[in-house]
Amino acid sequence: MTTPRDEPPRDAWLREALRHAPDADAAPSAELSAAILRQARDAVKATVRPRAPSHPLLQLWSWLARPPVAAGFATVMVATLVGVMWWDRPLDASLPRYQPPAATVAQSPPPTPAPAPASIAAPPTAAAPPRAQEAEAKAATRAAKEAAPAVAARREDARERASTERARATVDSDSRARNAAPAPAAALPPPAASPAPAPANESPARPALADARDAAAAQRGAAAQGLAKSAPAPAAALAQRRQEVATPTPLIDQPERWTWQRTGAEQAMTPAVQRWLAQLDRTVRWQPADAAPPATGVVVLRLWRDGALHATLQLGSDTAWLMPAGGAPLMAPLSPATSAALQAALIDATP
Amino acid sequence: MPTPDAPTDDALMAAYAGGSAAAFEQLYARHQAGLYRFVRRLLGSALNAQTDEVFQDTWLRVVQARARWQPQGASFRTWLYTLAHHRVIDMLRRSGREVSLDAHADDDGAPWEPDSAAWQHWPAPASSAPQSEELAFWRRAGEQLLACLEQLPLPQRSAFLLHHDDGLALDEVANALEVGFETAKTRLRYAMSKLRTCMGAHLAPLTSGGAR
Repeated sequence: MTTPRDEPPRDAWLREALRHAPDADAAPSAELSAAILRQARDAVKATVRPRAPSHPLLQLWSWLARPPVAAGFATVMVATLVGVMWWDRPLDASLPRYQPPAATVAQSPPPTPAPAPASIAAPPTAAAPPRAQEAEAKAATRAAKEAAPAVAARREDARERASTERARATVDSDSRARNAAPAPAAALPPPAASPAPAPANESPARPALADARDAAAAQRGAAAQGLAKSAPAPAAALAQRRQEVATPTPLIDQPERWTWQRTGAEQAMTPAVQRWLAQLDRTVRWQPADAAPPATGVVVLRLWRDGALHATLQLGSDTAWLMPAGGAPLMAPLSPATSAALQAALIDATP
Repeated sequence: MPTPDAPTDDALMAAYAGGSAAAFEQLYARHQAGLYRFVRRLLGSALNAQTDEVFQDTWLRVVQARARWQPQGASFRTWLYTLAHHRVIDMLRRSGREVSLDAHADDDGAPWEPDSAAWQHWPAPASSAPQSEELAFWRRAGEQLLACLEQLPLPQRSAFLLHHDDGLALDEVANALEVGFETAKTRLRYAMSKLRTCMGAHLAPLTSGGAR
């Protein structure tokens, strides 16, 4: 603060002159003052917040009404809704699917009632975590869908059979390792060890080829399991799966126990015959035969196991026949082109 | 002027920052006339039309700065005149006028010598009821003073107006102009000297009677 000694005196004459200056009474206009006061009031109104509600529910509602909180809450709700909607759906529905060559999809077999899932009958392994089992099931589903022709019923059948095989493989890890191996002599589990109930529309004595087909589906499922475990990238799994389809996996386990006969004497099982059996398995859809096979005009292939006739295959111009030894015959309709292709392949495989 | 029981400017400003519009109305009522005169006289006759704009802008700065205003150092009135001074400088610069913040830019360096000779024949300023002849004299003196004020540099003009018209103490003048105390004191001395010279040269004293 200044002391009176430091403070210079005000000049009385100059102050008097200022007091009598023409603008001594100058003041802002009423409109200007009103505008300033209005702006001051508006500024206060814009910043004064309403008093917080006293009731706890009203306080909660007021808190939820804040934009950041409301946005976060809405995000959580949407995520929950989407999660519930996709809870039990396979996640591989959006993945690219393998389209088999047109020549192999000659005719769509009629769908059959799906058997009960084997995974229900077979209890899951206690040591396997639920998430791993879920991944295995998805991989098996994807493998079954990609390996089979583009028929929904058949894909479903393959997926269930793959689940059956997965249950088997869980019990016997050695067997699963053999199934996952790309060796030609892949293991074929014995039909008697299958925990899955037999479908009602199949014969009591399960044909060898049907067993082989199931085993192939299971094998593909097991291979898919291995892919799912070893290759995290879906693209890599898909590429490997395509390679598997391009190179059919033999269906006959322990080929040294099997022989075949077409025109001459019995001959030992060869990889070419196994590949043909796999090709047939991918092409046909067996169903109970409602008529006897013709005696002529067909190509016949007999399959022997341990020296005993196990099944007889006949390829006609538009039908394939499978006659298990001691069982009811099965048939599968074929288009003429498919039948001709199968016959030519069989002749090549069985010179 | 506020009564002794009335809240201080700082208290009113704090109340306004807390949401009381009535507090702002009281502040405005207290300072609107003095601030308007200060702005008008600083701008001079050439920019008289911009007085309303600068005046309103000053108060809007007060409104906008209410949340961060703290009664530390300068009082509200000092801060208010600081805002107005800044707005006036901005306006003068926008109008193309050269604003020198050096109070001694147009001085010749010679020490100021008070010259009281011109006042010896003027009427006494403290007369409460001036005669009509004296009143006419002071009105002419007021007109002349405004003309002399426009010849002063802006720093000297603002120092003189704050000290003589608005009644700020010299340290408050220094705070309002954001200069040191001695600088404000020097500006005020130069302003008073020039104004006395200007007034004595152009304002003829009363010819009959009133000189003391």
